[in-house]
Amino acid sequence: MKTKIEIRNLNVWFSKRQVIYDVNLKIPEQAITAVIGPSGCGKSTLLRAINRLHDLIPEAKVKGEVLLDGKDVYKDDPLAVRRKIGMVFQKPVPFPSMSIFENVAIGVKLNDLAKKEKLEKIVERSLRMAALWDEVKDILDSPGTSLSVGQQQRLTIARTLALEPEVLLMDEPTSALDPVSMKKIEELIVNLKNDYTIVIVTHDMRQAARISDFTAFMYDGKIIEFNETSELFRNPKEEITEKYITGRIS
Amino acid sequence: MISTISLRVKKKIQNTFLFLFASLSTVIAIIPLFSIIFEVVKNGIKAINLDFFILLPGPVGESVGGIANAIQGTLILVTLASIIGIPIGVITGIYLYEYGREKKSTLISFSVDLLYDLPSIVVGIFVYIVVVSPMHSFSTIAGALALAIVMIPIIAKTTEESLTLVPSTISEAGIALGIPKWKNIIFIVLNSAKSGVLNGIILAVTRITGETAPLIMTSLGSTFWFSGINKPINSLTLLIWRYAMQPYPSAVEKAWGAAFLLLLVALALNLIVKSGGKSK
Ligand SMILES: Nc1ncnc2c1ncn2[C@@H]1O[C@H](COP(=O)(O)OP(=O)(O)OP(=O)(O)O)[C@@H](O)[C@H]1O
Ligand SMILES: [Mg+2]
Repeated sequence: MKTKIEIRNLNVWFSKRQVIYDVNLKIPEQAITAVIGPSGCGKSTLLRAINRLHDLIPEAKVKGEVLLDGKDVYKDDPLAVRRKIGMVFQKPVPFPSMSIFENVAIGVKLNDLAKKEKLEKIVERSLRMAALWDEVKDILDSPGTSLSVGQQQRLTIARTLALEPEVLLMDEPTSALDPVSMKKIEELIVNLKNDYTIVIVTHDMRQAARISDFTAFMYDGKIIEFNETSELFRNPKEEITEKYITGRIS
Repeated sequence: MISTISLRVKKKIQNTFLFLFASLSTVIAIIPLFSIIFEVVKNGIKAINLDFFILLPGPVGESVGGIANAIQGTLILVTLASIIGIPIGVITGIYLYEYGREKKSTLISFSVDLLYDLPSIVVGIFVYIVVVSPMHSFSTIAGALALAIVMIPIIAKTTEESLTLVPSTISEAGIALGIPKWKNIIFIVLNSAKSGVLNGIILAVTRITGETAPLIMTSLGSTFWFSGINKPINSLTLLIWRYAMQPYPSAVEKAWGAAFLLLLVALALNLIVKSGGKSK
């Protein structure tokens, strides 16, 4: 399988405190890679290093390389990087005071990526891909915040897809949702892997087992083990991985 | 056992006492407010008729004439002040939000705080020195500038506060879409805070509509219509200030009428803020 993102010797500090240590990881193209590990081990920090969200935090320092198709994102334009590598957060945050339509269109609009006439097409296509179109096609002018939480999360996925990214980073995208909404989003994610490279952080090991092709286990800021998901869960090589997946540490 | 019961009784008595005290204070605070409103309405309504709205002030001491030029003047002054003050206030608020914690903005945040607490008469004196004196004339633009200076810190502060209240996850979501920083602040964060920002603007407009002190030494007042931004201009507050001190009952009545008008404007603006706050 082709590698889409290669992380090389990545270290991240907040002020003086190091939270990511020498991470090396090859994320395969058009596959779902899950990142699991106990709370506070650095999963979100790793994810946010990939699309340069740490640039916003003055006390954050990143060292190392993140190669997207062989090109270091830290030597590229951060805005272009974030358009190519989209991010979905744990809590859905539709932009308040914007309609459903505007929520999906806003990224394209503010990045001057498409003419006005094309916006409608882009919005429809994105909402269809996010499996939300049928539910909202008649209420596109309603506020995004009027949707249910599960729909809001699919709205933020549509908003990210509107920019036609190549990679989707998802930080616990279903942990704020009810089981039905969670199942919908899981199906959606599995469908999306035909077109996108997906990295999903999850607390839920069963979720990782259900949907991901590869799994990375993180502990204390380090990648302990990376393998095909079925292999990692069946035959963990490290003792600590086994302890985690059998629930003996959390 | 006994001690817990007595403790409970003590708590209860304390609570009752506090409740009574709070209610009493509220009543004491409200009485003057309502008596002012009552007086203004009672005396003001007598002055209101068509002439009041469309005629220039009559000769001193006579009951003919109206206050049309003061209404016109207040509209012009507030509009000009808003054109100057709103954009500067909002931009300053954005700046404080973005750089508020950094060293380079301490001068600005200090100035805004100072300006916010400055008595408005001092603003009037300042504008007198830097505008009226060099121009050798009281003027509409000087009055508008003074009012704009009163507006700016109010708008800057409310804008900053409203922006700070927007969850950082919203700003972050915008950044994650590759939106450039400044566009993100304006079209995502400010847009999310717009009801708060609008409230601040209305608050500031209400405040300057009722300001007298900064106008005394800048726009001066006038018995004629507006005749150019480099000429003095009348306003409701200046008219009240001048007429209320005159010995003629007809003048005092017009002052009450103008006060009544200002009260209505303040009420209307307040209602806008309230209803806007609810719909969000
Ligand atoms: N902006 C920040 N400033 C300072 N420290 C931070 C910041 N963000 C994260 N950290 C610290 O970095 C460490 C890793 O945090 P991170 O959020 O990456 O963990 P996580 O694995 O995603 O945890 P969770 O499963 O709870 O989401 C934590 O100890 C956290 O306190
Ligand atoms: Mg996390």
